[in-house]
Amino acid sequence: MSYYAEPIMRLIRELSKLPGIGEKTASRLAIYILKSSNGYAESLAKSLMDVKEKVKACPVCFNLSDRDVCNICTDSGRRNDIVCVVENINNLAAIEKAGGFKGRYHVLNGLLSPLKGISPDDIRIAELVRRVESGDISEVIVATNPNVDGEATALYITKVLKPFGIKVTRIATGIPLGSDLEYIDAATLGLAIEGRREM
Amino acid sequence: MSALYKTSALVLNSTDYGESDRIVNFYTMDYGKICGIAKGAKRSKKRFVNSLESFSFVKLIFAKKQGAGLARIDQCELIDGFHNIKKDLETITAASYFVELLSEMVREWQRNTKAFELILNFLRMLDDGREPETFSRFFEVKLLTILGYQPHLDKCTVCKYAPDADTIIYFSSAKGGIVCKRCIKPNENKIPISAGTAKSLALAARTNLEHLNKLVLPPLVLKESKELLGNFIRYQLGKELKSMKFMETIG
Repeated sequence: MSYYAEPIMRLIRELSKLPGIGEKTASRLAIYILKSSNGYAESLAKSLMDVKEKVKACPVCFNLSDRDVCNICTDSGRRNDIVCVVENINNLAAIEKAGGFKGRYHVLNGLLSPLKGISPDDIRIAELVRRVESGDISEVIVATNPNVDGEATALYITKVLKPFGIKVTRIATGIPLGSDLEYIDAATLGLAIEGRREM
Repeated sequence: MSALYKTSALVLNSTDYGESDRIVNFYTMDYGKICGIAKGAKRSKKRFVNSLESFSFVKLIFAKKQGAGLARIDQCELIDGFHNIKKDLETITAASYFVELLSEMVREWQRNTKAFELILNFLRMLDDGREPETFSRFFEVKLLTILGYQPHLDKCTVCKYAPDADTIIYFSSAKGGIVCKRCIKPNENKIPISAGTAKSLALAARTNLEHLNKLVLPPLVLKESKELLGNFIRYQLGKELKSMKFMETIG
């Protein structure tokens, strides 16, 4: 690949480290950046640095934020007594995008996993317990993924929060809207029947 | 040219790979442990829906090129997801321990139908609500037996005499079994156990699976069995299993 000048080569190498970007896409991006205005390149470089320098974990919920405490934690229109526990900020964003939930969050930064050896000390469960301990919270919704690690995490959270006498709930598992029962797998259908609600 | 294989299998574990793929370890009935890549597994809602989760019993079709490291998972259809296991943390941990122990003790492409049936039956028993702690000990002793690592629990490994009942004897991982009071050396690495514990484990190794639930291990036997089998397995594998450590952290 010596047909590119060294600075371009370096940029291609750096870009191809990004997830989902191979060498060809990286070359295309590098050439695009090279051809774009100085202003664009400067703004891109500044954005990259800002992300690294200004974004920190919120000390309350561990969402990422450029302020001391994140937008969600400081929003006075949200309920303080309901906390939704999520695995990571992508899942928080997914719930926010769906709308409807107007409580606070707690980002665990991972899931418990017996097979990967991830124990309660490796994720932010102690911080969640401290939040519950400090009062105000009446319900914790565990919104981890419905897989083995997600279930293990939900069960552990339920166990450690039980002594506080608060409501611990789990998000429902079931049939996606607009789908056809005929094509739903047996496990999901079974859970949907088990978790039916009265009309 | 790649060959196509069709078999029933148990999912041992899986990890995300790249944007939407998963790398999955299976223990298959006909080919032993295999490692494969399921392309687009994270994105696909239909192809691999919840069949790539640990402890899923599946019908598997995969392709493998001569010399290639990873198999290509073509189809994976769920037969039994053992969903009751996922309703209790202790059971999830025990099931994880079963699959990790098996995965560490077998090599790829070595068929062992007995080991396959054993883990399947033990997961079924956990799913049916058997007590995880006791059945973990039964699983250990049975698996060790099937794979040819059975510890000698009936007679002293040095003098070959059966120990008297109600006496303290020792278990030595290096000797692969029990050592009586007379034969033990003072500086040897050993675990003191009661003769009853060795007897109960030897009996468990001989008992058919359908009669295992009639075997009750008293608290002392359970405690000693955990220590001696844990020590023996660590000695054989040369490392501690992640799920075992996890079990200790969650109490």
